[in-house]
Amino acid sequence: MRKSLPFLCLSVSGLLSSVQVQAQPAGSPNLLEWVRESRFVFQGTVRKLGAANMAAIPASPANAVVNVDQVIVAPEKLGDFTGREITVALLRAESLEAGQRAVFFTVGWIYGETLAVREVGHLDARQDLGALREQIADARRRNDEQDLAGRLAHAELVVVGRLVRIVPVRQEETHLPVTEHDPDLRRALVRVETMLKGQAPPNGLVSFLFANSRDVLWDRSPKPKVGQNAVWILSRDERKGLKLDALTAFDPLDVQPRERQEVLYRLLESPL
Amino acid sequence: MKSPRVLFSSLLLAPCLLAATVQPARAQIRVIDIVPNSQSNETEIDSEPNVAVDPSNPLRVAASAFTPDPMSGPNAPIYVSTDGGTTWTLSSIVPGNDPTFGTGDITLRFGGTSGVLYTGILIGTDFLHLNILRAADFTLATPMTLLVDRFSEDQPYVQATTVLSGSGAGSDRVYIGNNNLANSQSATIDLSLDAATAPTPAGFSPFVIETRTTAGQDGPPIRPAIHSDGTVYGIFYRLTTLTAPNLTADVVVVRADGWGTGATPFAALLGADGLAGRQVVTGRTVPFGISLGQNRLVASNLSIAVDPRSSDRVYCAWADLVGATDYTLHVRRSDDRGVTWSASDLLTITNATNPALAINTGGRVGFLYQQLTGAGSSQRWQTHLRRSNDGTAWTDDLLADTPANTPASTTSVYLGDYDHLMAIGKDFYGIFSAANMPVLASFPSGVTFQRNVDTATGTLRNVTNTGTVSPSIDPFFFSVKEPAPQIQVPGGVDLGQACVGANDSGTLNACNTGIADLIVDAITSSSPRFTVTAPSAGYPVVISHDFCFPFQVVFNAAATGPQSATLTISSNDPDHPNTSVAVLGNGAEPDIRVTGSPDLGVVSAWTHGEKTLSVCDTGGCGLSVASASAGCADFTLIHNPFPATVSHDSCLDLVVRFTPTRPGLRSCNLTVSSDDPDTPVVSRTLTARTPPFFSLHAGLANPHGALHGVAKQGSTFNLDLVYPFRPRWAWDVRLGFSKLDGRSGHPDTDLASLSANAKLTLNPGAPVHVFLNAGLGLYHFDPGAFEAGGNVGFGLKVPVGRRFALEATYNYHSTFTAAPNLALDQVQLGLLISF
Repeated sequence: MRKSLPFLCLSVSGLLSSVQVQAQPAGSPNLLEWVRESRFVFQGTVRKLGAANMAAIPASPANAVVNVDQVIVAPEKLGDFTGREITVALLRAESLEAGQRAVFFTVGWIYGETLAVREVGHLDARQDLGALREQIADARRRNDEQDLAGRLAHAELVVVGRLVRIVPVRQEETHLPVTEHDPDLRRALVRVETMLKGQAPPNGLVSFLFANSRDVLWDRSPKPKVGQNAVWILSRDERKGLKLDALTAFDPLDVQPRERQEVLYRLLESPL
Repeated sequence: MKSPRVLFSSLLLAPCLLAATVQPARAQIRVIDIVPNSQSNETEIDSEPNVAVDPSNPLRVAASAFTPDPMSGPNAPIYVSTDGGTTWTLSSIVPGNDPTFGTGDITLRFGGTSGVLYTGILIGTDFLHLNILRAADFTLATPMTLLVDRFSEDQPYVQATTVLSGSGAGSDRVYIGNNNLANSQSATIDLSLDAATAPTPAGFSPFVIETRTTAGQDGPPIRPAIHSDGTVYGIFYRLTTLTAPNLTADVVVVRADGWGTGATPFAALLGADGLAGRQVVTGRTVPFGISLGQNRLVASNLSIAVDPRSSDRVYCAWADLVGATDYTLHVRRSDDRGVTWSASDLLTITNATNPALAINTGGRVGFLYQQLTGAGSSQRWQTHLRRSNDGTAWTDDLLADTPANTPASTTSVYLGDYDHLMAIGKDFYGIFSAANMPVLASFPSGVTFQRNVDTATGTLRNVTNTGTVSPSIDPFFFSVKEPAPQIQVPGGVDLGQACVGANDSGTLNACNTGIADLIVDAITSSSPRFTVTAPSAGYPVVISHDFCFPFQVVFNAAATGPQSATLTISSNDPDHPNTSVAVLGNGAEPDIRVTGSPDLGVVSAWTHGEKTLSVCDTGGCGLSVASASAGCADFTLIHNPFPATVSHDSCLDLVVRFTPTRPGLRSCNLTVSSDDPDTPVVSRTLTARTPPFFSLHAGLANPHGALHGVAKQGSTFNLDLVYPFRPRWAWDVRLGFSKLDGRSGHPDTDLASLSANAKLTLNPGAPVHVFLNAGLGLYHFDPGAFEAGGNVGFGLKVPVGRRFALEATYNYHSTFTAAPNLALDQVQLGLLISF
């Protein structure tokens, strides 16, 4: 079963302006980094300090039981924890007081009858979370573009074109062992329409390997189809355990809708 | 010692029951969906599970599956339970989380007694990238420590234990089978002889266990099995052709003795060709890359288990293609350390996968597998647990019977390439993955869910319980409490004090906390002083589960002081066929003490005196007093409870009355006879005295010496105070007045005297006492002067009752200081009156 990481409650804005928010306890937080690192962002009220509401949580004065007042960002598969009390492992025990409300940026920690999360950072509580939601959505988009820019920088070729043929790859070519994690490599041929990076081959066809396997190690890897018109970000991907001397598209970012080619072009021209 | 009636009553009242017949018992099976409640929304394919139960504390359980961190964090989670698998949490402590599946492969195991958790994983963000990890405390929710980091490895499978005794005692021994695909002889076991605390790489080194040529590599599964005596087995597929979808393989078993120390640790078991590794079967066709139902087949199905009772006995299981389209599991056994194997299958299961073997401490083998049944849309995955004592007769418990087509898989994994079964003591623990629709009929052995479910509609509910959730694959932990008896004796037996030479008894409760009937064949004692009374119905005694039987233990003390013995209960408890119970007793004797003063003091003759004395037992058991007596007329025992038994540490009172039959000091022996072995007769001298007598004497006085010249016969009168201080002796203080008539021309002479006499009664027991007396005195003669003198005398005394006596006395007085000498004698009759 394919899994994705859609995030709830995000309304992507087109704003590219820098984010200025007041951090707690002091200084300007790097919201971009907080958004990159955190998975669960919510506004909550501290119910009890130095406490936890799951037996499995190791005791610590930095633990706090926090009521989730409003969820701002959460993995879709987590479900709705609005109104529920969870445990937050604070960065600093004294940074909040009982009864205080704040916006928490957190990552997962322990999942039992309820949640326990670790704080990445927190902000003062807001009456109107709309602006913060937009800032977070913008940071999220910028992070995505940073990731994409990284793939583009790593790529040997970035090709806009249509996939015209897929052929199996013989084991003699790859010398891969017999394993349940076999990537089931296939060779894809793409007729080049535009080269965003690198030189087009004389015949106008670019070939690359992709993993057709639905094994756990390859399930998220792109599974191109014949006729697919896309932007192909091709690199000599050196997954450390897989030594292939060929262009590959293994990363989920390596196949982009051709509608994004303007964005990709911009990122290639002006890396973040 | 209790009377039979009392014993019978105690049997009725005790929470015990004697079962009349042996009732067959079923194993207690629990099946638990371990996805936590907070993950009720999840729809993952949580397949290929593994489980580790801490042998030193089976309440601590860790489990794994293809479960990603629910928030796509950097670490993959394991499932954690600290209550024996009843409740679970997810704790992300494994590096390399893939957002969809967590890790690539993962297995985990605890050390035998260390509590340290070891995992072998393929990290989820790379390809065939092995990590061996360690957590000193898996409950702390902190990332595991990386010990080994290596590439081109597949399917790490961890087994671990702790050396219990001898060289290396206390050290964790960890064996991780893995397919080192950098070599054509790829079957490998990484081992560490001291993995718990050593720094990275914690002593781990890879050892190739394949010794023969291969078609390029060995198969993915390499499974170790450890015995506490240091024997370590390994099993793998030696691939001889690699043409998918049908590989050709030999099933090879290797063995290491002595924990696998040395340069070639797995060379103890040789094949017919003289190379290390015994081929159980050869030339088998093993499907690869095809599916059984929605579950892929990747030549990953091997298992091996060694009998904890003897490392000679080892079971193995493998899968292969027997016909054209099947996938068949085979179970076989060796009783000679892997040299020879049963010629045919002990168990053959068609169209099944994920074999897992384990053997409990009773030698009972468990076999877990998942079988595809039915056809088309009616196909189901049935998860079976088979168990057998002999490899021939097998029970069959159906743990899950779930649809094979729901959920529909979008990946190549469905149930996974393995599950796991292990045994601790006599109990089995395991894990499998299955479709998670909460349809109770799909779990014939029962099931509990932590995630929100509606069993009435058979639907999964979301985390807010406001909507349904699509079916998916979940890991299911299960435990099987074997229907074995389990003897439990609540502590030793202390019979307390017992009299030397006598019997005392107490109760030894033998309880059955197991499931099957406990049969007690005999109870023996290491000392003849302690015996266990055979029940009226004799042995064997059958005790139903959750009941106790009160055996009567009899203590016959041979001597004083503490005594002990060991009782050995022989029963059918497979883990404790001979249970030792300490029994204690203390031999004791009675010890008589007669307390209280035997002196009754001064008692008037006009009344009587009483005194209480106590006869006490300061020993450890009861004192039997036969009699107490005082053989004198003056002393009588007016309260005499004897014969009687005096309990230890208690007393009984004697009351002595003194009624003087004669005046003076009286004494008498009080004699107490008992069974005190050291002092069977105790004597105490009772004493008492009467107060002094007052006497009046009157009679005639006759002058002698110079006095005779001036005086003639006169009268005399004496007042005496007589104080007997011995039976024969008394002080006699006399105040006398005499008046002698004057002779012619002489005035009368008055004489006043005060003398102190000692009085000796010659025959104090006779009715008429004869006594002598003598003393010194002062005399005042008028006319005359004060003079000093003395007197001697004798007399007769006739007691009249105990209060009066009559006396007739004669005394002769003579002065020392007068010159010429003044003397007189007295003849008197007197009356003595006792106070």
